[in-house]
Amino acid sequence: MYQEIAALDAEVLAISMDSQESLGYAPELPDSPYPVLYTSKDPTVPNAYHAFDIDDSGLSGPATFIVDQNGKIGWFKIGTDNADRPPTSVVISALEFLNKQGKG
Amino acid sequence: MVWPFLSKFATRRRGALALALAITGLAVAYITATGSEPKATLLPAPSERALIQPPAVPSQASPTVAGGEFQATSPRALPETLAVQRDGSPEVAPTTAAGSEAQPAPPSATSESAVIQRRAEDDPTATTVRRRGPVVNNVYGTDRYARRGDDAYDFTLPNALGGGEITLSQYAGEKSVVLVFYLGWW
Repeated sequence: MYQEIAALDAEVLAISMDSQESLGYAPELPDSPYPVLYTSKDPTVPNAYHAFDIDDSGLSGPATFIVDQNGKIGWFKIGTDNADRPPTSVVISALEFLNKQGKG
Repeated sequence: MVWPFLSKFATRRRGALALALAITGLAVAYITATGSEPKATLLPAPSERALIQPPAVPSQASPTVAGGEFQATSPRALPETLAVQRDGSPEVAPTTAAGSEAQPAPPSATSESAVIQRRAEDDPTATTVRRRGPVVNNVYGTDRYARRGDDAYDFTLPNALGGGEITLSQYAGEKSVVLVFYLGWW
């Protein structure tokens, strides 16, 4: 799935509010093909995307943003709980749409 | 001389005369009935009309009464606000109560909405429902989301995998970036 996204000239950046120590316990991390960034409980970045504290947990909400090549937000989805995240197919079609728009 | 003739004539035609009178009477009665009474049933008294007419259902646009947009932290605030609108008292809308903070807010759903709105204005991280239509479930404020076309906030964050730091703007002009806000245990 990551290869499909990478084929669309896109990079995935995962942003976690955990610290590096707690990220070390995440089982999916060692073979993650994309960078996993961490903010160490600093809410600045999630807050700048209005994705912080969506579910009153004091953590960033389950949000997905697509930043296009001009540095603008092209698409986003902010879920309401941890299960409310867009499927990869939706992200891919949004990327395809944005790429088409950028060319046209 | 004439009377016997008339009486004879009348006697002879008495049945027809009575029939004609009866027909005329019925016609007059029918005209009065159709002329006045149906009007009365079509246009009842104002008090009756008020009973017959359904109560004004607030439309999609009527939340403007309650301060431009509907705000609440939970779905249960919806019926209270609708009740306020049905009373026809838009002057106690949340905006008025929130705008003039010197006035004590009325002890009802209005005060609660005013508190919620004040909280939303003071605390930019407060999560409030801000919807134009009816609130179905607790969906979070679209107005305070980022918008398409906004400049993405440029950040520099350490990478947990390879060390080093990654800045968002380093991809500008080359690649799109999918930002996934993520928790380690997801």
